[in-house]
Amino acid sequence: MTTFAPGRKASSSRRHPRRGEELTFWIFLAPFFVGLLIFTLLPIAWSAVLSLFDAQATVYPTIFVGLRNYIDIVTDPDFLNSIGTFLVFTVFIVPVTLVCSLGLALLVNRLPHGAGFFRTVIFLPTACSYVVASLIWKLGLFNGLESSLANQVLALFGQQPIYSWLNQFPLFWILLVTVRLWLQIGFYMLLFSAALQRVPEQLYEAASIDGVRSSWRMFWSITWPQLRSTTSAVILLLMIAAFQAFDEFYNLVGAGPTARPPLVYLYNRAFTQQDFGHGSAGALVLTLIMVVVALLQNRFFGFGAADDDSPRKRASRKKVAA
Amino acid sequence: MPGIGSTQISRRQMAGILGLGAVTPLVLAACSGPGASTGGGGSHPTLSQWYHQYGEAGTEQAAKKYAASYKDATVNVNWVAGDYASKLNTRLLAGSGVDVFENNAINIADARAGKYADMTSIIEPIKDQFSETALYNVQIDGKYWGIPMIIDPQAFYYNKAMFSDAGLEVPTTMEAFYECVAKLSSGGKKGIFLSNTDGGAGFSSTMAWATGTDIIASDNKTNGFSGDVDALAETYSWFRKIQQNGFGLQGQPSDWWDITPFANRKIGIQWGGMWSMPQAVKALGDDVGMFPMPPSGSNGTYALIGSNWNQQVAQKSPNRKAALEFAKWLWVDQKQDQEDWALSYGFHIPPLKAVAASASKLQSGAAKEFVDAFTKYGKATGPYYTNEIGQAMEDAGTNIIVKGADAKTQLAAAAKKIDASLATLQ
Repeated sequence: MTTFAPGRKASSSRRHPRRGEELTFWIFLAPFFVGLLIFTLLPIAWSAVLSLFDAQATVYPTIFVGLRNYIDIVTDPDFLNSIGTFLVFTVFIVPVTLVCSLGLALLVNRLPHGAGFFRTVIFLPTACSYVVASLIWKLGLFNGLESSLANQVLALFGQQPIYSWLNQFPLFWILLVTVRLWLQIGFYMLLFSAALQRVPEQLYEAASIDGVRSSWRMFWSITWPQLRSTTSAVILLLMIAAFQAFDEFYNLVGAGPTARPPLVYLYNRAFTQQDFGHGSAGALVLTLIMVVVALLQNRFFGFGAADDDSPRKRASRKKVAA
Repeated sequence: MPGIGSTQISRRQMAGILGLGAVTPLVLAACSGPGASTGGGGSHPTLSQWYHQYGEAGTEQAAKKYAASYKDATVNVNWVAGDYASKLNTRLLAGSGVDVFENNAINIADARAGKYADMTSIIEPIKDQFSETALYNVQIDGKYWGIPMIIDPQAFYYNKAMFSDAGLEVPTTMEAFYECVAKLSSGGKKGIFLSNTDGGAGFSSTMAWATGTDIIASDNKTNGFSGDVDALAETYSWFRKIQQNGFGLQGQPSDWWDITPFANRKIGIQWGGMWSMPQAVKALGDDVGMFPMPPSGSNGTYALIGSNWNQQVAQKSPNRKAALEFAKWLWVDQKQDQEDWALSYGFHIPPLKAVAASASKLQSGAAKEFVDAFTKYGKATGPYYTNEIGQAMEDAGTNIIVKGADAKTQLAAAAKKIDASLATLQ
């Protein structure tokens, strides 16, 4: 008689993979691990070492300075200003992208025909490089010539052309926010579209049977709560992306103080000034800030935690237990 | 036939793995970029020579022609587009891929970190033949680290016909300069093009010299302007007024280094380099004139900046000796090529005095005015003017001119950064 014990067999197989499978595993993954080691882990480790040295124009420094580079960075008004620039940028770009991408996803999702076409069209700018998009914005849409698109639109309304799109507050923020919005809205729209398709249709049917007629109420009572984890993910990804902003700032307003986010500040320090000690310290401080932000959002919103382990579910379990 | 999970590896699989192993170093070698030098200094070495991407048509072909005519080594010219300084610094840091290169930002940290080959033995015997201003930029710790290739003076271009029509004279003070700009800006026009973004903050050294002070004190230990910050603050205030009143052209497809707005008569004055002279003269003929930054304050003087491009050799080059010989051959001995490089494309002043003196294109018109003004008032920032100091001054200038921040507060903040930067170089 043959005994069938799939659970035990599978478990045993996981603990003791066959030698051939092990070899295949390493053949396929070794290049990735080697790449990770050489191009990610070693540079991070070397950066940590550099951050403790006076590394001017060299990556093999000899003068140990302890935490001095870190103290210099966190007390440098330019660094603090760059954090301020990031915060201003985040305040605009995160909610604008969130609302617009969710709005587009809702609109496209309700289309009876051609939803795939519109999703593709809206997603296309994501494939465009930030540098190319910045140049289009700078040279085509918002240059100071009368022939630029923005100035043509102003002329339609009888307004004088604007020459200083790139350095006049708050005009340059319009360029910086709109170029990123155009580039990333399609990606986040896709995330929301995927999440919308996972919302069970029965919930809407049940609500309808219960007498809910208003689309607005349907959205706030069903759709929005169902999108909670996707929204948390989108907010976190948008914040990380805003924190990593470089290309559009560098190409539109330059490396000067007009609007200098943290990465442009670090680029100036590490590459223009070749101060690898302060540059590395700054990079690690920024990493620390992002880790703290990620942990805080995990604490309050729960993105990244297993569904059963989210703070809200833990709280709900406690209530039930009580 | 063995499955994926098998321990057996077929001959074909083994050949694939070995092939991958063989190809990987080749791919990595290819990834090391263009023009890596070969050989360890044999009788006929191969050199990698780096240039930044010049805007003038024909320059790349000229550089390759000079390299091809050198008989003692094969010289591969690499024409580097994009952020030249960062790419060059990365190569010098890695110590491979570049043997001989041009550089307009020789700096102390790199010299002391052993990235540049010492060129004192080439320059010292003939140093009197070079422009002193040009040599000032390549001298660190009593040694010479580069051979000046070209000098690029920068000043104001002005349209003589527009000045005449508006009843204007060439300005002799900053106040008169502002009046010129204001008059040329009447009727909704723009009078001047200084910069797309910083309102002229990038010319801080020239502004300081025009007040009779300097960004860096003569002992290279502290900032030079804090003693007379009032005069410098006043100079900035004139540029602030230009910005505030909307007299400056902005938002152009390219920045101040491109003379196109001036050549197209969009404005009457533009800050620019002498390299643009052929384009300006072609468009405007005898209407092209130039003037240096006018004096400001009681110790003021006319001021004109001259930056160099310099030929250098990488200290870590396996062909250092051959690279030094090539650099000397091209930028000291080949006088005809030097004049061709300086004057057949854009206009630049040849650093060798004899070559500059014999250059017929520099003997008349606005080009002669540029050379005369540079000879009389020209200054160089020197190697102590680090990128950090340049950034500090540009930040202060942009904050004053564009954002309207208090000049003295901004200059005091810049002075602090300059002092800190200089302290690390002592």
